[in-house]
Amino acid sequence: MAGSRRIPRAPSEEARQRFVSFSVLLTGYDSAELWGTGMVDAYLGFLINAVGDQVTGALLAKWTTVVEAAGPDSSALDQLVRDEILADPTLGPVARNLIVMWYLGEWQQLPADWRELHGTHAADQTCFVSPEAYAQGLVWNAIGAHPQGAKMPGYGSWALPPTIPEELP
Amino acid sequence: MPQGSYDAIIIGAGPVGVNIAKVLTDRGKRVLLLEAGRASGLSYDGWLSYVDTYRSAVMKEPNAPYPPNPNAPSTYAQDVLNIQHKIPILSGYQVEKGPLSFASTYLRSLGGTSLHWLGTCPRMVPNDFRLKTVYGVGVDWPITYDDLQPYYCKAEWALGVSANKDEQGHFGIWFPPDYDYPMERIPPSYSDGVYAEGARKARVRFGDHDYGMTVTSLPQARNSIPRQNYALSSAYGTAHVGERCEGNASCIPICPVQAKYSALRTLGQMDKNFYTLVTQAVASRLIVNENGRIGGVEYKRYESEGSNQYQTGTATATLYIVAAHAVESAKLLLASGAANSSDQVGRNLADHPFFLTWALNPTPVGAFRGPGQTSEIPSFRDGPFRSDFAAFRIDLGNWGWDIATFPPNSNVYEAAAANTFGKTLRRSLGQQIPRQLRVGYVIEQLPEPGNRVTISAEFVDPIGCFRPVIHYNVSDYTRKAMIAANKVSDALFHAMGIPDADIYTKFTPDSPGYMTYKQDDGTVVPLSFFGSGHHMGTHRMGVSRTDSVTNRYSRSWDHENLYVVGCGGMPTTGSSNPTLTAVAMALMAADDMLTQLG
Repeated sequence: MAGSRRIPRAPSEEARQRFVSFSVLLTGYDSAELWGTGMVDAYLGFLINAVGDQVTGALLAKWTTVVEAAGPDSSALDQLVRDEILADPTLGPVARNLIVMWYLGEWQQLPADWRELHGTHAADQTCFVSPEAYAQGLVWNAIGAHPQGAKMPGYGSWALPPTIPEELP
Repeated sequence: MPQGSYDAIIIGAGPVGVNIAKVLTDRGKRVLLLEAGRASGLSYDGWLSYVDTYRSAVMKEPNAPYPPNPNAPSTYAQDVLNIQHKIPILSGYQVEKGPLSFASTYLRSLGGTSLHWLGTCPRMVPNDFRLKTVYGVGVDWPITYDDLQPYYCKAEWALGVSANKDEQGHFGIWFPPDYDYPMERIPPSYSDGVYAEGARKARVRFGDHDYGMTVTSLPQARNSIPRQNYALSSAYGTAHVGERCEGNASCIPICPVQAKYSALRTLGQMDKNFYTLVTQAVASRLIVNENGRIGGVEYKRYESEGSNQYQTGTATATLYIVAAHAVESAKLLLASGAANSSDQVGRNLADHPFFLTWALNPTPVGAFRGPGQTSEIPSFRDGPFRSDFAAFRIDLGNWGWDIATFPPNSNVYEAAAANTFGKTLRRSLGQQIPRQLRVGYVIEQLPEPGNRVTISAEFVDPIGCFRPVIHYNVSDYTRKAMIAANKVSDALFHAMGIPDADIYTKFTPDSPGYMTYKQDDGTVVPLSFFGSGHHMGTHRMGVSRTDSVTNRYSRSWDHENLYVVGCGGMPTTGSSNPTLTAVAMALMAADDMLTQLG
């Protein structure tokens, strides 16, 4: 069956919105910045391929639950994310992978014990989602630089004083 | 398949082979260029496919953009990192017999290793050519700096080196009064200025001498502002791309715009009427006639990288020039039973062991901007200490902690594993990484007969050519230099206002190239090194056929129509990145070839 890939159902608009709002919390970047990378659909699509519909659905449902529980209290939200998602043996490794995927453009193969418990997917390989995903990694913005080999800043730019990453409230 | 007879056959279309081809074809000689690897870079959109391969590579090491080619294999860094500390290493392409793993890799492709090199082009200092006479160690070259000097000038114009000569007169390096580099120096980075502030004040003592430090711009083959009379070259196959360094900061392993020199540039300047290029053709044997002349080169031409099927051909010429890279050239000579009455072929293999120290500056220095290095501290390229320990050149890195710890990826992995997220994560990355400083010490290694490339019927590649079998160690002369380098590093970092708590240099048994040195007082010092990507010494030139492979013109003592040219010809290495010197040696050889061809 090499070459024939099951075409995934397009994610629902609701799933996309939940994915983006969860990513805003995980990354510390706002939704405009995340949409601006052009990677929202690519990352959500990769996630579904790598862990399947059920785990993806469970993750986004849990996120919705903790958002409702925390209300306007952002430090309560952070704590609930820690306790209910990051500490969860099924959801935690996936959430940590989302952090790495947004910051680097790279998916990390899930740990062996996770794969043993939930089964493996062919797409769950350590790899960059795409060359463009590499270039859209958030880490480069976070450090006031640019992805090596992409978004070239121009002759002599390295002589200028460094861009200090913006002061965050 | 090539037709007819040639004035010269050049084996290897890297910077040495292609520059020789240019000299010969400019004078109307017919040249056959045989290249083992694929025809990388002959179209710009093809080049961009390698840029994409780099961007997608999980391990971004020097050969990452260039996919494996089973029929002309190259080594990848992960093959020789020796993380498991197991010797011998039999996987990958080059076999490592130890005791240490030879940590550098090279590339077999059109353009050769100039596709992935950094482009650093310092000249060697005059005493580098006279180590035995001046310091009582190593050997002397058959030529002096003064002999090679006019060819350095030509090589700097051939490669397009950017530098200001008034800054480059280290330890007796001199230039003709009417000479200048083709392009202005690459602008020093902001962090170079931060180093310079500290270097001004730093002092260190070795033996009876106190040493200060200066920071000077590094000559590099990278497009900048041209001086008069120099015609800039853009990327091969397209106009207007790459006429200046654009700060991609990915020089190793690939310059997306080809502002960094690669041999493709020289190829693009050649007259197609005078050369034939055949790629995917591995030279497998030099045919030696009874009269001692080379009578032909046998090569294996594979149609596809995906199959080990090949056709064997033979090509003939008046002159044969082996310029396949220090390791490959030695391998070919050994496989042919050629040019080795001295028993020096493959021996005296040397790298510049690359010793790193790293720290955090109090304030941001703008890590990950610009070429890999824009400035150096040249202060230890020569000195009385060389009778005791090796000279070294100090590279001031612009890419954070770089290969010491693989930022920013390692920072992100660690943070995610610790459940750091959101603005806390974003802030912590921005707080540390822009302050990262990494200093690299490019250290000389003396020629040793036991450091060598050999061949064995036990190790062959899919088309039946030998894989290189490497035996390698690092002597006390170089290990002591690493200890000296660490002392220099502490003096420099302290003078920059960096306390010990912010110096992160640490060597453990898991570090690359881990080894130790036992000092006179009995303390055992842990050391670690990487490869600089330099392979030298394997077919050295000399004054006598008893202990060298070629004469000063890189011409074989044993076969009068054979030249063996490249970094392998260097009898000692100094601390200068060798490509510029190898191209200078090649241009000197090319003059001799023209004399032979008449």
